[in-house]
Amino acid sequence: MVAVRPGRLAAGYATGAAVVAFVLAGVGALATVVGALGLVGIAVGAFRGRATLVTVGSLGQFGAVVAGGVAGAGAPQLVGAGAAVVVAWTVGRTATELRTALDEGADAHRLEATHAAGTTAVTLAAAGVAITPTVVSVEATPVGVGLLLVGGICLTAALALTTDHPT
Amino acid sequence: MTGTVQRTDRWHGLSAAALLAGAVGLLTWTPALLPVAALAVALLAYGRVVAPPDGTLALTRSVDDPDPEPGDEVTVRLAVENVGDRTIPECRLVDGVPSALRVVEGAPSLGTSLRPGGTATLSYTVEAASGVHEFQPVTALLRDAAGVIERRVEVEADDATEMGEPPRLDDGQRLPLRAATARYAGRRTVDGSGDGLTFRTIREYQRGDPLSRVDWRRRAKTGELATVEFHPERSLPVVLVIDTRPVAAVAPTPEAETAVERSLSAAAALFGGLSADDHRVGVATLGPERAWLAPGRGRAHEQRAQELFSRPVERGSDDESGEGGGTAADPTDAGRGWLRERLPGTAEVIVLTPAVDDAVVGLIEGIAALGTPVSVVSPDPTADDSAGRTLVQFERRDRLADVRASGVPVVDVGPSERIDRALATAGWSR
Repeated sequence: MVAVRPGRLAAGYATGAAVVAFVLAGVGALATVVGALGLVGIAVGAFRGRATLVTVGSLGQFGAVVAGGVAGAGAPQLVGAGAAVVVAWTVGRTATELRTALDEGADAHRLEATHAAGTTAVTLAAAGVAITPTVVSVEATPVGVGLLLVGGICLTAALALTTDHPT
Repeated sequence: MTGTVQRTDRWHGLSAAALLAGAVGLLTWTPALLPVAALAVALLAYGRVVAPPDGTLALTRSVDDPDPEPGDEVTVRLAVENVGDRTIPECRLVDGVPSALRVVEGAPSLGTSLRPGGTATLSYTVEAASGVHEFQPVTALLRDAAGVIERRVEVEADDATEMGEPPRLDDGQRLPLRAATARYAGRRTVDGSGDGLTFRTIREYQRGDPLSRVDWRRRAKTGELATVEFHPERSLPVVLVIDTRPVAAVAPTPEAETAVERSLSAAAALFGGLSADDHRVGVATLGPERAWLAPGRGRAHEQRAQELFSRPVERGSDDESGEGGGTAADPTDAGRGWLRERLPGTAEVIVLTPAVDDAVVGLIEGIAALGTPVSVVSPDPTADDSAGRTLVQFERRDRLADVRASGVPVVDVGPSERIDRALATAGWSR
């Protein structure tokens, strides 16, 4: 078996996910340019072991998703792109961590494959949850939409601000 | 085996992204961005509800040679099994390789995932060093599939928790001693006359001289009574003072043996050689846990000395100006009084130290000031591959020059020089 340095497999997978995000979000010039820069950031950061570069690249790709949305991309396309950005970010960060956490000759391909598959599964499940309301057609009332927004903001704030008590 | 659990903050900033996407969607009347915000919220929810994997690991370590010779390459295998009933999606392991052992092939770490009952193995090769070395517990980091929560556990392996054997004392190293003040007969020829084998002089017979000493040939030839005198042979109490302080646990390269390990090897060799010459040898260590073994002889005494020479030694910090340097001065200063209380008045002292700080020089000069014959064996731990290291090298040479100037002989053993050869060819340099 050819020895692969820890993190290489994850870096390749993160770059692939970043390419998917770039393709899906690249609607319009701004989204394409920002997305391309983000893609380069993720790829270089993941392969060179720079976690900050991966995060900055992911931020760029997220900007591309938002710009793509403003430019007229559809919801499934944007959710797909967003999910791909999350996968690229998460797996790319893991690639950088593994480079420092494990020795150069350590075998980590099983961990990397499981992590990439697991992160993709979790993100796709979350994407499924996110996209479901757009697929199911309901008669929306302004009050209902308003309440939904308030609920969404409260949930986000609660998830972000809850005191951390891991068991 | 609960260990510590913490969130990795892997998705730190996701909530801001959710709010940003939602806000831009509202401001620009872009409904398609709201599901993007919902995606982020769903992921945050996952991060809140996911539980860390259980620390259900069983480890078995094996080494192909539990008692290797120093320098031998030994293969270590570590098998890890998930003995729980839940999958561990991410498992990072780092074996607790003793700091004195250098990994020459493979890696003592592994990243894997383990189904219930699943196993994984890692193997690596280490270069054995002298003494007994204890493996530390394995550190394992267990994470969920996306890596947002982790459990850190330390697991002891079932077998092979230590490797190596105590240094042998019987084929030890001889070294010329300086003093001749001991009271016990031995093989060391000292100045003065008395019982022994080496001829010294013939003098006029005095009443009370033993008949076995009378030169009967002279009596037969000349009719005069004369007594033959020999150099007396006495054993000296010798104390090996080993500098095992953390500040001395330094090496020219990360792979090389530390000065403390080299000092311990040299001490073991000297102990064997001096004991073989019938000297009574004692041991004192100046490390954080000071140890004192009064000069003595016999199997039990050798056994206790072996235990002292086999104590594991932690590698010191590279940071010369750090905490280690500051606190290390005090133990040696205190060690001077501690040692003075214990040293027998007639003892000769051999100090084994890399001489990397001034405190140990003070200790050597303090012992010499008592009139005790002192010698120094100094393994050189310095390198000259940077300006800072060259400076440290010069400082050490200066210290040794000071020691020599105070009349104490020094054997300076170069970084790549074998300490046993240096001792074998030792002429004390003043």
